[in-house]
Amino acid sequence: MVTRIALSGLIAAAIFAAAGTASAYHDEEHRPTYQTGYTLNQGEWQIGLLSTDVGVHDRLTLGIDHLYYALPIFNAHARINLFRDGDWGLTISGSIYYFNVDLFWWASPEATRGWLVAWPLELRGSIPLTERFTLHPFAALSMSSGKVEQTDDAYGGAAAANNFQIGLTTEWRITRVFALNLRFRFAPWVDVSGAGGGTIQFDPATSVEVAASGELDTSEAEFAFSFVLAAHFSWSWFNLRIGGGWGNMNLPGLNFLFVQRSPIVELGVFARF
Amino acid sequence: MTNFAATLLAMAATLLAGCIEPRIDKPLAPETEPLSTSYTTAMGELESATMEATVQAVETTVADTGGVCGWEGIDGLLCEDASRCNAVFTCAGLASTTALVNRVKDLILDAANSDDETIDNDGEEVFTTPFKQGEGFVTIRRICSGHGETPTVDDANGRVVMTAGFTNLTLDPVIWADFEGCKFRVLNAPFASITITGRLVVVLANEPVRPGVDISFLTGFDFEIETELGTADIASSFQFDPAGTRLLILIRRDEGDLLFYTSPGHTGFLTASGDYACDFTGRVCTGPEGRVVTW
Repeated sequence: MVTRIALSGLIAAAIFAAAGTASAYHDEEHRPTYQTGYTLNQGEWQIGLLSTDVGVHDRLTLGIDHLYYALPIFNAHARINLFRDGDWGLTISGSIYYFNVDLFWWASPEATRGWLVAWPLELRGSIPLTERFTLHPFAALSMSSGKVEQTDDAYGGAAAANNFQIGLTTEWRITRVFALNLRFRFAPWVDVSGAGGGTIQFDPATSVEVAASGELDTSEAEFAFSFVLAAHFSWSWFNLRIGGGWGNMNLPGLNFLFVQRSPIVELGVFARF
Repeated sequence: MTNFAATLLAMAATLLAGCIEPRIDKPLAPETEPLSTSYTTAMGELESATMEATVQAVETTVADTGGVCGWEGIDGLLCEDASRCNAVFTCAGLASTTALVNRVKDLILDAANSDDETIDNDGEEVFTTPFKQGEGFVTIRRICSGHGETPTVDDANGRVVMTAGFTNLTLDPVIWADFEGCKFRVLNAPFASITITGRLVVVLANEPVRPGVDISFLTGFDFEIETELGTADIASSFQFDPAGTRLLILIRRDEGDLLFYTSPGHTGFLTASGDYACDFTGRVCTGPEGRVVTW
């Protein structure tokens, strides 16, 4: 499925690229937008494995994470440039993700219904240190809520997962087409809480209802962090970002953190035109 | 820029307002502090002048409590050794309470999907759950068996609704059961059928309230009981002390409440001044410093 989506994305990128003006990358006119304080220029498109974005205005980029639609998780995001002055930049972005169990038709029991909504918010800045070095700090607040219940009310529950992350990307533009990025991500606050219950009919005369709410022990996830070193190549409209690191993996876009620390592989392929 | 920021802030506020707060409406436990206090604070004193009335109050209270446990009077509670006392104490109420508490613990652990029953945390038995904080409740609803010779499942038979709260660590200290016109048959009694309406409350606590006495199960009830013989309102309470194998029953008096107790080889009263051991056949009680009360 992922391969098919990737191929679709690349084909679409090629079609759009053929129709538009090719854009170079590491220059002042076409600044990188991935985890930076910049937005796409008006009329620019960026299509990758995960997401599709379009610059509807020099200060406003809209997009979707099309990969999540395969699950299907409906989503959209907007990135707004609040400040720019040369290589200085500040953007704020908001996303909304919606998942409905009813649409998860290949795995969901018919008697179960439910939904999940997540709305990450991010504030990202770009601070040029020298002509080749730029710092991209960020702060992100990710909130999500979900609810699931059985149609006969035998059980049901709701959950909320929230986290706050801060981080810093150091970008070193070595050549016009090659840059090294060192990313650090840190989550000082993680909160997962839920409530649920159900009714069990023990025998014809006896039923037992159990309901509970609680805050999950997320001590392993608090102070989650990750380091990633990635190489970013940009050949005209085609971009490849590949790297690796270690720590608590972060689900792109949704900003869900994995509790267990593990090696991290970063792979990004996208076209910008 | 200002418009952009304002738009985004408005969007964020809208989304935050729609945030789900996962919670439950936990039933509020009945107030039991006055009852618990009655078993822990200074009480009345034994006086020869009022002893006759006091013993009669004990007989009445024990007989009332007998509606739940089968005790008919002081004689029925006298026991010479631990095994006989245990047989007396293991009345329906105490046995079912113990079983009930254990069953509720099992239900909670099942709900928490916990592998371990308890862990030792500073000497206390607590649940092991993946939650750092939490709360919940269990409600058991049972339709009563009815007055017929054959038990039936019929809403007209009334029901018992038992509720227990809990946290991620332990059971809440109060478990209660509401008898909603509960009808059932009774064996070996002067009446064949009984209908109970009212509330039974069990207070769980571990703090030592006096030397040798732990409040393990403090049970109070306030029932309207209807039988072929008539209708009676009965409110009473008792406390079972498994460590000391002592059963305490609160005796309400205008002169000050007393705790009647029975344990292997000993029967008497706990009063404000101390422990009185009584011989109900000889009609004499001996208290602290050899003080004697007769009737």
